[in-house]
Amino acid sequence: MNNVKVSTKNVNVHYGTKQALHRVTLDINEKEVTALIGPSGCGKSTFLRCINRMNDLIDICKVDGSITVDNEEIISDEVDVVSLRSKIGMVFQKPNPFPKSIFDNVAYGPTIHGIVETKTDLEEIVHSSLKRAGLLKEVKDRLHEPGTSLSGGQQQRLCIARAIAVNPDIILMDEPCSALDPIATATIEELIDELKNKYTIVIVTHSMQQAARVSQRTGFFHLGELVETGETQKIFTNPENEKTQGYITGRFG
Amino acid sequence: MSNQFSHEKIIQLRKKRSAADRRFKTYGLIATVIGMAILFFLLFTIFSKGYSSFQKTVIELDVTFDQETLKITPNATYEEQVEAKFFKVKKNAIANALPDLSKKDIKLMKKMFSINVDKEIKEYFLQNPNILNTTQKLLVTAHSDVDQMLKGNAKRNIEEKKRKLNDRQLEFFDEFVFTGRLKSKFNNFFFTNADSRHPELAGIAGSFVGSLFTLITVFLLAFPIGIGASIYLEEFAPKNKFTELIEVNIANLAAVPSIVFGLLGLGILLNVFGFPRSTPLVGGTVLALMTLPTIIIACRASLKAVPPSIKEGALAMGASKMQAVFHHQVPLALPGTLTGTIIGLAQALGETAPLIMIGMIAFIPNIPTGFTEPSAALPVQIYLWVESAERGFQEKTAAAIMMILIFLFLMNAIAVFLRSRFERKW
Amino acid sequence: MEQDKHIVKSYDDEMKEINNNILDIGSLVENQLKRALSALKNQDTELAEKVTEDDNLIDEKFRELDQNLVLILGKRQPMATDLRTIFSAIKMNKDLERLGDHATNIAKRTAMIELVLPEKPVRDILRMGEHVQIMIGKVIQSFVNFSAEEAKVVWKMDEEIDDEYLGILRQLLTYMMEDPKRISACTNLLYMVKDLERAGDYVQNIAEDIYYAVSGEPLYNEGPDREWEAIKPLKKKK
Repeated sequence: MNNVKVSTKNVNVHYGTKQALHRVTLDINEKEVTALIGPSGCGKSTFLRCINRMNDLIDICKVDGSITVDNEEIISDEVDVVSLRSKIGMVFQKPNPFPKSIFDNVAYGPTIHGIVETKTDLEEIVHSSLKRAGLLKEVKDRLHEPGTSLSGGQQQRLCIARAIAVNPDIILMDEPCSALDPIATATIEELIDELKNKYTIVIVTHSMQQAARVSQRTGFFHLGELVETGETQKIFTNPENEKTQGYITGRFG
Repeated sequence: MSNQFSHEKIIQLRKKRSAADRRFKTYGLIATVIGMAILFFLLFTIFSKGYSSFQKTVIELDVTFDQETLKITPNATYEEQVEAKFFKVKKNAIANALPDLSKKDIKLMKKMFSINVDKEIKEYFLQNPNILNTTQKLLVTAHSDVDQMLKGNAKRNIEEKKRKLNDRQLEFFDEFVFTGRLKSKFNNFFFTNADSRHPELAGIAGSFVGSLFTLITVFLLAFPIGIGASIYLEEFAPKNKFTELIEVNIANLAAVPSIVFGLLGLGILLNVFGFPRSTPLVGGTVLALMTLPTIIIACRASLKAVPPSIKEGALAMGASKMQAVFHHQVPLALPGTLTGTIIGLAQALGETAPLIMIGMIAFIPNIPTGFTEPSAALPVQIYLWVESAERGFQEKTAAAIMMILIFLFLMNAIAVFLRSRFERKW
Repeated sequence: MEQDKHIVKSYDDEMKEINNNILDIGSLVENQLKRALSALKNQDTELAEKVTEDDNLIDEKFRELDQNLVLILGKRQPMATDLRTIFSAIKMNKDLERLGDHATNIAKRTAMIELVLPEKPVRDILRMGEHVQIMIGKVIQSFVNFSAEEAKVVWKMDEEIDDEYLGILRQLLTYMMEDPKRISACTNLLYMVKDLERAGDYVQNIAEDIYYAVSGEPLYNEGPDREWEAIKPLKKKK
């Protein structure tokens, strides 16, 4: 179980002259949920976006160091970002379904990557993705309604279905529940629990309880540094670092 | 603590504040009312002046189609009929319009009819050839002077010299009115004719079609170029001094006086590239240059308004940049872009100065049938008519303004429709 | 608990409240044992009865603290050191209450005994009781200081209590074998010494809890069960 899926070594990120990440070295295990916690602006989202090279979108952002996915270096100009991102799905803080129908939302990935040949195949992928995201039952009869007509929690699960439709290895989640109510949050957490049997999941979260509930390993970021990383159980009952302790007990500052 | 808000000073202040609120509201209301009043006054003036040009005056005339005068036989072919001497028929009819007319009277009487009367008689005959050798009561178009007199636009109780109709003609006029032979009819010429030297025959069809061709040219040129440029600048262009300079200049371009674009058209399109003068193609190209900044600014604003989360979502799915832009951003930005485009087109529609520069001010009595044919345009037509000395053109001017307003209203309606039709929530 | 303050001030207040509750109940229990021993020493039935009644006070405190603990768990969802502290407090509360029960038991027995007690074992029991009392004091002190080392020291002290217990146990057995008339009195003493031994065990548990709360590492009893080792030969002889 404990194969390393993503391995980062001495990752530095600069936004212009400001350094956002300092020498982050972290291994992410396969088919496990790794939670990244830390106060706002500590660089955890930045780190997450290094893994699928979403930081490329920001002109002033410079990443150096080494990140390997399946032992292949991805911090390099030769890497095909499009195929990397087809291997690494991402779910964002605010549910962002495309302003299209539910069906088209899920079908988008398989269509642009040319995974499917026939319409039947596409329908099957859409159905199975929605099913795995636990959404099929709720939307079965209204696949052609706009994705934005769903509730917040359903939208987020639609985004997860959209991400898993291209059958990625890794799913990155950037505070996926921060805009959701507790019930919707619980549904997503349950889903994450199921998904970890098939995918490697990295989740950034502000809720320490959530990190404690869903993750096997936890990394604590502070001021752009990875302060502590270890088994979630250990981090939340007996962290080694004082900063971690201060943060998770609500004593920060 | 408990009564700190009931302190007298504070109560005073509160009263002052709500009074200021009310005052501000009143100012706003007054401003709106003044604006509306001016608008309504404008519309009222235009409509009250212009509505009469949708009517024309016709005179009932007894026309005898005898075959000697026409110089045709009853079984003449169509070609022979077309060549028949209708002007003689007309001459006879006018000479007998009223009984006992002297030669001088007939000359005066002739001036009370439109020069189009031969044609009307001819058309009537061609449609009903079996009326040969009979006398028909035809309603033929009156001269603009008669028309204006009947509509009350021309004064009759002034010096004879200052009148278009002299005393004798007024006698005829009164006789026609008395016998009920002067009638008002829907003015079809206004909608089917191009410009004419004769007010009663002048219409807006030519300039309307010219404007339409011009706008089509503007749209075909400015829309794709504008969208392409905005997408490139917004999504693909590197952010550096050079692109910043371009951006600033696009904004500046939107503020350049339109006549400068006209000069550009004259100097480059006509003189260097040798485009045909006075054509919708040149007019459209010049106006497209003028509209381009408006479209680019509107399109870029709409692209900016698309939430970045949509693009991020698409990119994170593994879409290429082009796919993300064209699958998601452009469709969402399209309603705003279309609105901006239509506003730009509306601007172009009303533009006169650059068209004058490239020669679209020429007198064109035909309706254009293509982009490279000389033609007029609505605003230039208005300009031409307002310049004309003839009284009959005054009401035409107002009517043409009405038409341009209706055209603009329609375009805005299309803009609103497109926006509500394609606008999607996210 | 010498730590930085929580960002939420009322959280600190609540933790402080829990802390005070533990100290309250701890000193009540300590006092309970002290008075029970004093009643035994002076054969003071009246005091013994009073002590028996006062067990209610401890129970009341126990219930109050229980409430506060459940509340803080639900409200604050404590993490790390707070979580361990609350978790330990829950166990300490229960142990202190049981400790109080054992002290009360001694008082109850004292109230019941109308016979003359053999002097030597009573003296030994009193001394053992004092040791337990000291342990209670120290364990509370280690909680106040939030010190794992102090807790470990207390934890080790239970070995002595066990030794004393075994000593008194043998002594009482010998007494009973020598003179069956003493059996009735000695049985009562036997119960008392057992109570004290149990009390020592509870103090040891509390020390374990404190150690865990402070260090995050569990402290386990290792080695053979010494009581069983001591009694086994007796069984074989018969």
